[in-house]
Amino acid sequence: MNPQTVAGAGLLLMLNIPFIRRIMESDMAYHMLLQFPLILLAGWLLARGFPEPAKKWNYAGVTGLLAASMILMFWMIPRALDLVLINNTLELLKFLSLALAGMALAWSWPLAGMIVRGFFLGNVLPMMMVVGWLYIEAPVRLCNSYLSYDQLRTGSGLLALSIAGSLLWLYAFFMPSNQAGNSEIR
Amino acid sequence: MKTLLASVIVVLLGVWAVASMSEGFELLTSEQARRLDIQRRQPVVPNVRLTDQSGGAHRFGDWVQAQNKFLIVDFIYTNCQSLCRALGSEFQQLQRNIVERGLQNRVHLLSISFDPEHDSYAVLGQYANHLQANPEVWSFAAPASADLEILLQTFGVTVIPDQTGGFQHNAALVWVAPSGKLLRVTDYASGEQLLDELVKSN
Repeated sequence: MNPQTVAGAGLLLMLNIPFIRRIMESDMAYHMLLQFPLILLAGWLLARGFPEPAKKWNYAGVTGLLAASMILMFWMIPRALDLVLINNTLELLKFLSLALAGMALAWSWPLAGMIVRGFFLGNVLPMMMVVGWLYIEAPVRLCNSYLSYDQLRTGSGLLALSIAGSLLWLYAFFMPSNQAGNSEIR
Repeated sequence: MKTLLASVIVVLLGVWAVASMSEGFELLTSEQARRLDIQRRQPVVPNVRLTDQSGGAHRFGDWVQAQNKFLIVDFIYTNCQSLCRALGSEFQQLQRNIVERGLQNRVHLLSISFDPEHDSYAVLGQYANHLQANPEVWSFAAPASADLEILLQTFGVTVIPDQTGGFQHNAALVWVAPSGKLLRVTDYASGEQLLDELVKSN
């Protein structure tokens, strides 16, 4: 078995240990900015051991990247963040869908050309920016289960992440030497 | 072609998921969901034990029906430094408004503490004095500790401890009919406006 796949599966299992899950979900910033990316990473690693499936259904990675951005969008709804804390089915769905998004990214990113990648990033990065800004500016708490201070930190984190992502993207765009802009993800 | 088909399916699935999470694009937060849920279901107040600021013991449901008034309920704790202050001054204003319009036979204000460990009836009494609450218009009460959970659940109040030893909670006004049904939940600054509606409707 591919070592990356093993690492991905291990990471996914580790994130599911109740103790670790509790810590990560006790704080809104850990939940969104640490647990989410780690599940994505686990899915991404997991997929590395397998060849891209059904390439015909995923021409230029369009379907996969679309699915990944949909999943990311869904998990930015504040109510969803609140609900997974009390609803186990939804919590399971969160792990599955985010891992799937990671896998879709791993399989689709190499297939995607400049335009499809640009479309994906042009969708996800501004979305993170808007949500981050919303979390910072909202006069009330958007998640009943999290403190307003945590919301502020999460918003700042999302904003920072989206800006960093945009800068990386720009960098990759103007540095074509490193193999067609693969640098962001690899 | 296949990719197009798959993409359409993915988008439809995504829209469906977002639509169900947002109750058909009506809301984004669980606070909005809670308000909509209460407005639709109109649950009855649980008949839990409440102690008022002068030490009187009541059963919540029976108490509401015996008073036969509209209740405006908010949730507080007396150690609160931030949001409850806002709620307190909102209620002071509502109290003035109710007295000016002579509505004290039809509307009553009730502040319920979710910190019964600390907020004994004596503490609540002091707090009421401090806020110059008129007992004819504005009561304070705390549930028995064992009943707190069910009370908060019915009203959809989430309380979480913060770093400074206090609590954060979703602050709002809950409108309870004389029958004991929860009618609606509104922002804490919306009292006056709803009082107007109440007067007009009768």
